[in-house]
Parts: sequence; structure tokens; C-alpha cells
Amino acid sequence: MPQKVSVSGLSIAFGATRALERVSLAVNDGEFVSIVGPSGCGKSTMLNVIAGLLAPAEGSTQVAGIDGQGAGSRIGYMFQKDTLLPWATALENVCLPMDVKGARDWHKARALMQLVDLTGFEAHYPNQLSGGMRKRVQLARLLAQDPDVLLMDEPFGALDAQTRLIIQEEFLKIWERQRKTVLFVTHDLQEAIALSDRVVLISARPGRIKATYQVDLPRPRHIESVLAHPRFMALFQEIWASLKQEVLAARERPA
Amino acid sequence: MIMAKGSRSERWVLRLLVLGLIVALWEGVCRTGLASEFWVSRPFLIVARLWDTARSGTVWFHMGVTVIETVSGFVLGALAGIIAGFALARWRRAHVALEPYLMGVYSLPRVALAPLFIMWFGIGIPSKIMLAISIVFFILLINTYVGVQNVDRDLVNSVKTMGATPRFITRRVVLPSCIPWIFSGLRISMALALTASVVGEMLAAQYGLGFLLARASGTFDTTGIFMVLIILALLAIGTYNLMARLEKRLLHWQGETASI
Repeated sequence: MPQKVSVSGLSIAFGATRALERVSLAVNDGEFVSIVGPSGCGKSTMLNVIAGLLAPAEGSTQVAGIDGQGAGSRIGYMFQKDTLLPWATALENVCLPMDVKGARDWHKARALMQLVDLTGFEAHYPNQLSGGMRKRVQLARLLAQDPDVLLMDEPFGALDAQTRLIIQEEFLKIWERQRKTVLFVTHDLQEAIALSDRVVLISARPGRIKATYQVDLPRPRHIESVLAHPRFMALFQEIWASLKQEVLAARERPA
Repeated sequence: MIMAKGSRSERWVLRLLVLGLIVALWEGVCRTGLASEFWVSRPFLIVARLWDTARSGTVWFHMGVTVIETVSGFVLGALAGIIAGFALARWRRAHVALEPYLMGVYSLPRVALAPLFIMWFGIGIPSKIMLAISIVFFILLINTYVGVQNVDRDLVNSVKTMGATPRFITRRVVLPSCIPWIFSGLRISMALALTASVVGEMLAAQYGLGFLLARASGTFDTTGIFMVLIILALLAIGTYNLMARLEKRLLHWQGETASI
């Protein structure tokens, strides 16, 4: 299988703090990879480097065969924070990536609004939508960009637990249809296992890849049945045992 | 502004009641001889004077002069200030070099420049416009600059990851996110531009509401002073509401803004 994202020997430091150390990772085309690790281990930093927002101290990244910072337009990035333009309507926000390319397609944007179940909310401004709806608009915007690779940094982290389950389910459904390559950062281990093909565990700072776990749960998946699957529970216990050590280690070290 | 419960008409009935009370009290105090008409005038006299000067056209002429000065100073100062604010945000070097001087002039009570401007630009309209510009310019310069600095980095980054050019980011992210800052600057500036032209006219002028005010004061004409004060208050409220309405239209994505 061809590699869509490859990270090799990546090191990053902020002043005297070493955030990431010699991290190498390859994500195959159409693969869903989650990255888990304690807070401050450099997970988000890694995504920023891959997206070209940050330059690495050492090492290199490649997306869809393009080196380093040039890969920008092939990447769709979804942040934890709301990054919808507050002065644009939901539909205008979905059109934004198409505007960047200079080819606005209202028809496609409307179809995407329908895909994320927001028909009728096209003319609403972000502050008129609930947190879950804003997330769905962001998802539609991400798909409007039609990137090769989705980088997602705790995209559902700010949602309340119920809304999160629903959005995860919807996202899973859309993803299983489109099968785009995803690199997904989260500190919700359940989410990581339920959604991904592979879970990568990063250690406490300086972040290194501690272990990688193949998630051999059958697809298509449904969140509620996955969470009850015996294999899910076994994986959760196994990964959590290892992750817990890192979380505790991170707590003992001063930030 | 958060409104108490109650209908629109109820609100206005209450407000008119307050006005009626003040007018009655004022008129009564003078009629009964508790206060001297010479010092505090009387509502009836003020209204009569307003009516006379409005009919003869003098008040419209002086008001026109003041409005022209205020609006010209406001528009020119605001445009220059907004452009300078973006320029300073764009060229960090210029900001570093100019900041202490800008802050120095900004901290100066700008009406103190009036004597200088009157010397340079004469006692006519130009010196009042310059005075208004000198106030409005700095407010918009600083507000615009701060607005650009406060652009949400995450918004910029997210659009950047879509492959947007710097120009696209400026047009679609930076400019719209500065609008609330610019508007709050405009709202303050409008009132201060009016202050500047009136103060300038009071110091040296042949026309304008400030001139009327100074002349009335010089002849111990309390009624004349109150008449001008009432016109000024109405002008200020009118422009404020105009700005609030414009702001509401342009910033409809933000929610409610205050209005009097």
C-alpha cells in the first residue's frame, strides 16, 4: 500500500524543552491512525509540522509525495477550537476552501450541508448554531476542501459527551464511505480505538513513539456496538495500561 | 443596552414623563421666583428662542458649519487612521520606531493643539477640521492596529492550511475581524470630533455652534447657551444612533449593539 504521510526522524524543541524526539511514522493511503499520549507530549505539534505551520528542528515530513511545507493544499486540518469564520454563514464557511482555489460551487456546498445533516441551516451564522452543529459545519468544510489527508487535532474534544458520541458516529459513517487518510490526535482512548485502524502511543515528554497497536475490529463500525465488543475492551485495557504510565510520568515532571 | 421588560410604547411613556417632570420643575422654579431666570433661563424661553432662530435660519447655518467640520474631520481622520493602523501592523519596524512618538501625541490633550491650528489654518473651517482629525486619527490608528494584532491565530492558520495566499487571508480573515475594533473606534471618535469642532469654534471662529455658545456666554445670554446645548445633545444622540444602526447592519453576525 502506498504511503500517504511519512514522518522520519522528527525532533522539535521549544527553547530548552524537547517536545518530540526522533519520531518516525508512516500512514498508508486510506488508513485511519490515531495518536494518543499524555498532555504536552507533542501530539499537536507533530500535526502542525506535518501541516507546514511549524518548521521541524530535525527530520522531515512528506504528504502525498510532497516534502515538508509544500504539502499545504493536500491537507485538511481540523482544530479542536472552532475555526469557522464568525462573519460568514454556515454555507459560506463550507465554500471557503473552494474560494481559496477560486472555484466556488454552491451545489457541492449544499450537498455537503446535507451530508452532515444541516439542511435548513445554510444561512445561519456560527453564533446561531450549537457546538455540535458548528462541528458538523467544520466537517463539511473539511470535505469541501477534498484534501488527500485529514489532520484532526482533538476535533471533538470540546463537545459534551452525548453530542460527541453522535458526531463520532456520523463522522465514522462518512469516513467509511470516503476512506481518506486520517491522522487523528486525541486524548480520548475510547475514541481513538473506536475510530482507527491503528493507535500510536506517544510517551511523556520528550515524546517518542512508545508502541503501536493494530485495531482489528471489523468495519463498518457502529460506535455503540464497538464499545461493547470484547476485542475493543481487550485493546482498551492493553493500551490504557501503557498510556497510564506515561500520563503519570508526565504529571511528575514540571511543565 | 439591556431593556427591562415592557412594551416599546410603555418605555416611551416613561421617558416622556421624566422629560415632562424636568420641564415642569424647571419652569415652576423660575415662575415662583425660587431661581433667577438670568442664571438658569426657562424651558419656555429656550423653546421660543429655538423657534425664532430656526425660522430665521441662523441656527441652521451655524449648525451646518459645525456638522461640516465634524463630519469632514471624522471622515478624513478615520480614513487616515485606519490606513495608518494597517500599515503599522504590516510593517513591524515602523511600529517599533514610531510607537513612543505616537503614544506621546496620543496622550497629549489634543484640544491643546487648537491655538496652534488656529495660527496655522486661520479661524475658519479648516482649523476645526484639523483639530477633529488630530483626535480621530489616533483613535482609529490604535484601534485598527490592536484589531489586526488580535486576529485569531487559529482562524488564520486554518485558512492557511487550505492553501490560502496572504492576500486571501487579509481580505477574508484579517479585515472582517478588525471591523468590530474599527467600529468601536468610530463610535468614540464621532462624539470627540463634535467636541473638537465646538471647542475650536469657542476659541476662535465667526460661525458654528461653538461660536454661538461663546457669544451667548459673553453677553450673559443663558437662554442662548441652553439652546445651543440642546442642539448639541440632539446632534450627538442622532449621530450615535446612526453609527449604532450602521454597526448593527455591518456586524449582524455578532448580535446586539447598544443604542440610546
